[in-house]
Amino acid sequence: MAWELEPMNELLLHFSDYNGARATMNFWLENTETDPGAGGAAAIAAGAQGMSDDALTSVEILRHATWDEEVTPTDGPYARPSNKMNITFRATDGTKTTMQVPGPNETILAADHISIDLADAAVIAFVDYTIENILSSEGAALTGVQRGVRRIPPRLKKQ
Amino acid sequence: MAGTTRVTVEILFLYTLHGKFTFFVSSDVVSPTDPIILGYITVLEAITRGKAIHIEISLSQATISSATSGATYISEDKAFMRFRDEFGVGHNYKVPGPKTTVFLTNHEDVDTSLAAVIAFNAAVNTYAKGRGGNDITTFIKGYRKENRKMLKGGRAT
Repeated sequence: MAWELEPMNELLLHFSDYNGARATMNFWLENTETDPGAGGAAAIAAGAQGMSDDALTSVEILRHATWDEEVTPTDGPYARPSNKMNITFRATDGTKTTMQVPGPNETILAADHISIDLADAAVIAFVDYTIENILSSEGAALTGVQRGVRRIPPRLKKQ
Repeated sequence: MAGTTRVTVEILFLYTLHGKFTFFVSSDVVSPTDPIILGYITVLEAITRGKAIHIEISLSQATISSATSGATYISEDKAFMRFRDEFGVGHNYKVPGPKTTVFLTNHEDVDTSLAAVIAFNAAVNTYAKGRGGNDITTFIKGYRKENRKMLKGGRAT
């Protein structure tokens, strides 16, 4: 059992016309192509831009890996993706980054079943790993947890 | 390249519903099986009831360019470019907002002698593949295709 890298990478070219209407082209490339600004991605992007009056706004390469074996999710009171644990981190640039964990395990909740239990070993491991390795969308390092709250699925709010 | 790599992990839950978890890592990470990503999935699976089944990473680069103001053809208009792979399977690519010069004087068929068209076809034939890895080998034909939405019921309101 292992993660299998898909044989091809997906290349997306994002265009916008002078009215702001967007369009996307889709190609497949060898999975060794990892730089959107070089190699086949750049050549195809330049070729498409040469034919178009639209502006090429960005070049994106998507790479995929798939787990090669059947998995066994477990049951619990919040074992659905509509249940979320929103864990908010502070970043070094002063912004906030919220990690939205779907289907949280109930063992990470405090006694109120709403707040996250920051003393739980699994939560400590998740928080420590996040701070050490994960960035905000702007690339800022994360410095600490601000709060963690279980979000109730919207359709259940008026029960 | 962007300063970060966006990672989206698809998670399977017991009742066959899929959830997604998205995060950002350094742009040095260019493989979905990078140890940083797999390590994060391990600690993530310890706090959720689901199991990760798919990883997608996005490597993106913004480009600086401007659309031609008042151009005849816009994003809804396409130069429909048809190719064939090494096994004879067809692959179509739709170039949005084609330049008027790309077409012959009938305004319909792509001018295959134009340098820009030759460059595009060469790039596709050299680098593009089918999803399973088939080589795209041959340009077949190109023509203009309108993709504009019809007016509802043809009524002027």
